Amino acid sequence: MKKFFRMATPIIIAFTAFLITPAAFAQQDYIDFTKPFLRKIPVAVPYFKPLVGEEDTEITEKSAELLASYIDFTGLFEVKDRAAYLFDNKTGGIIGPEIDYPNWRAINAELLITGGVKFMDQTVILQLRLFDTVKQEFLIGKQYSVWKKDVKKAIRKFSGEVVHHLTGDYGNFDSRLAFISKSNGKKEIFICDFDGTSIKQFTKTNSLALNPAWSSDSKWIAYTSYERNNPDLFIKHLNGEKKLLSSKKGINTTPAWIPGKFALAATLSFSGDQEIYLLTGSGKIIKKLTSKWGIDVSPTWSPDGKKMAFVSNRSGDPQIYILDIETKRVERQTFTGKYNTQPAWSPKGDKLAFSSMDNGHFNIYFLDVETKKTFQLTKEAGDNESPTWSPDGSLLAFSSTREGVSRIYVMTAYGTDQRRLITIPGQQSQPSWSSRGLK
Amino acid sequence: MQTRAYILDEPETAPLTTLIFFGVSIILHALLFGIIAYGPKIISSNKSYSSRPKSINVKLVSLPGNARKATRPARTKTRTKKTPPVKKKKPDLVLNKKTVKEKKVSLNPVKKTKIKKKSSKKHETYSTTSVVRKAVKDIERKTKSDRAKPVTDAIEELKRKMAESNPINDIQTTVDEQEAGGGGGGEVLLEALAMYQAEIYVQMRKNWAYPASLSKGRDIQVVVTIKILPTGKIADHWFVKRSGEKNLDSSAVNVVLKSDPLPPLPRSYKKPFYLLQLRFSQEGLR
Repeated sequence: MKKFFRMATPIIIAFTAFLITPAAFAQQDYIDFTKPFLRKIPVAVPYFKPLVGEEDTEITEKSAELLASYIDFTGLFEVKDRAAYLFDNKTGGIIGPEIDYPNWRAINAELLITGGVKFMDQTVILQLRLFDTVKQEFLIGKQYSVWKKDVKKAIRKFSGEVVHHLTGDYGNFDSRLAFISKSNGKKEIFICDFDGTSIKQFTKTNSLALNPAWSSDSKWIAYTSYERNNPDLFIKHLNGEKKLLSSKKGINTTPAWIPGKFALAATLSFSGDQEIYLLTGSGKIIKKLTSKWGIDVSPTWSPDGKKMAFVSNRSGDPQIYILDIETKRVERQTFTGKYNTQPAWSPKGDKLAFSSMDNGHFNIYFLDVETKKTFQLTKEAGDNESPTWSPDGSLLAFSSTREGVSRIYVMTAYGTDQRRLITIPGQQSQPSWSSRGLK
Repeated sequence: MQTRAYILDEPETAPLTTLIFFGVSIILHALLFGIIAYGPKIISSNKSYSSRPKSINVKLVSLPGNARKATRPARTKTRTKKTPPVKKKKPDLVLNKKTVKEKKVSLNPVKKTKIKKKSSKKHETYSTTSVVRKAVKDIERKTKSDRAKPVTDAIEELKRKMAESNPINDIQTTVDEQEAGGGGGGEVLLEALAMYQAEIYVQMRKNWAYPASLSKGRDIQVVVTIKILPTGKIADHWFVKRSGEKNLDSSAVNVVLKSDPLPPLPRSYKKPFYLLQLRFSQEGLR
């Protein structure tokens, strides 16, 4: 008996454990949600409420639409259709205690932006507020006293506040893009706002301008121009001041400003071989950065200015390398594909966007600088080239031939929300995104 | 493990041994009957009654909906997560010869009610007689849940079929079928809860808005427990685990608030409230 018991003990234990297992599982009640149903935060942006003075719908309505379009541009929000709002901007509540939260929840908005406008003689006082309609919380409130013509600036500022609330970053609302646009056979540099509006021609070379690059204070643009019948480097201030930077024999091209300095790297070939040099803002050579026979081109700086990525064909095919300025060590970054070019270092420093040719088409990828893993961002949509990062690193602008001629598009840093940015006739290419802080 | 068991046996008393022997005997008998009664069902390949060892949660994640792909990885997750608690259980049983109820404690440390049980059980269950009695009870309970399984599996099967034919299926219909078919009483509870979870999953999922880019490419998860009253009202919610990304945490709370009130709890659920964990995870983008 005793013996049997001793033998049985482990069996009992085993059986008991076996028996309880399913019952135990049943106790642990949980539900897994593995992918958000909605990929954007639903937000309502009703027309602004006129508070004092004579209403100008250019402000109460058009500015509200502008605000909606700005925050929509980030790819983070889905602006709910205004026709569904249970709200009258003449009478509806726009401050915390007056807000009819259930009405906003009824249209499935999770955030609400309200505006109130006091119309003065020449100026307006604009009160903008952000609410969480689900938790019924007031999140941000700002008041802007501006000239009527400057309402747009206030709208941008507040859009920055809204994005900052989510991401801790003020976004790209005060940034611009430079790009090449071709019309009448000439390629000139144009400038537009972050959202592709307010397009202006910047250069009048009457020949061919290429490779625009913003200085880190966003006041100068360096570029290559053939106006003297040779690819020379110029820099031009937004106020119109223009300087010849480098017009040495051979090519003078692909400028890239060092972050925070009035100096830039560029490819020059006066020695008979293409090498990347470091130049001052007045065009003096500080030093030679690469020294390997073959093509060395398209520099891009890490945000701390300590490293420079560039394209070299030293291994046979064009591939992307990183040079450590201090140690002078050069390390190859891309190993897949036979044609990897146009690197662009992200503003946070963690990624290198580049274009890669595969099966006869260019596509945009990014390389995680730390892990060296690459990720494809565009596919099956023509040729996609010249990636450039938005100042907050959340978006990439690029050129694409997906709709025929080359045009400028924008997408999130993860390749989602790809859309056309610039809608002017002609052919556009080589976008370059400024850093922030314009005007 | 075994060494300890031997030591416990050393002060041998005849009645005790006999009792334990009977205990073993009962367990083995129950097992045998269980196999005889339900074995055929397990063996039978009849679709609606095939019994695979699945838990409620696993079924849940295989729910229809346009995220059928998305739910698949979750299934594996659920399984792996469940295993560790079970391992912890075994030592408890051996050392103290404690009974089944104690399992609940470590399985679900989150749930306050169950933690209470732990302290009281220690005293109650010290005598070996009650050990045996409880073991028997457990077998009974186990057999019940065994019987329940084919039913739940059948429901699961139905659901899957419906999902295949129509991705936006009507969960309510399935519930009705289940209620009609299930014999009533306690054994229906598990299925009722499973169906309830399935229903609220669909309702809650629609309310989850989160832009993936906010996770900055990381794998993050937030876990919220909700307390559901019989009426379906969500009386309370709290974070079990925050993700470290405030927007994801906030989106989870929004789901809870937007989904309140939920449908009433199943009538077979007799407790004053039902605690349910909601786990929201955003996988790294690539």
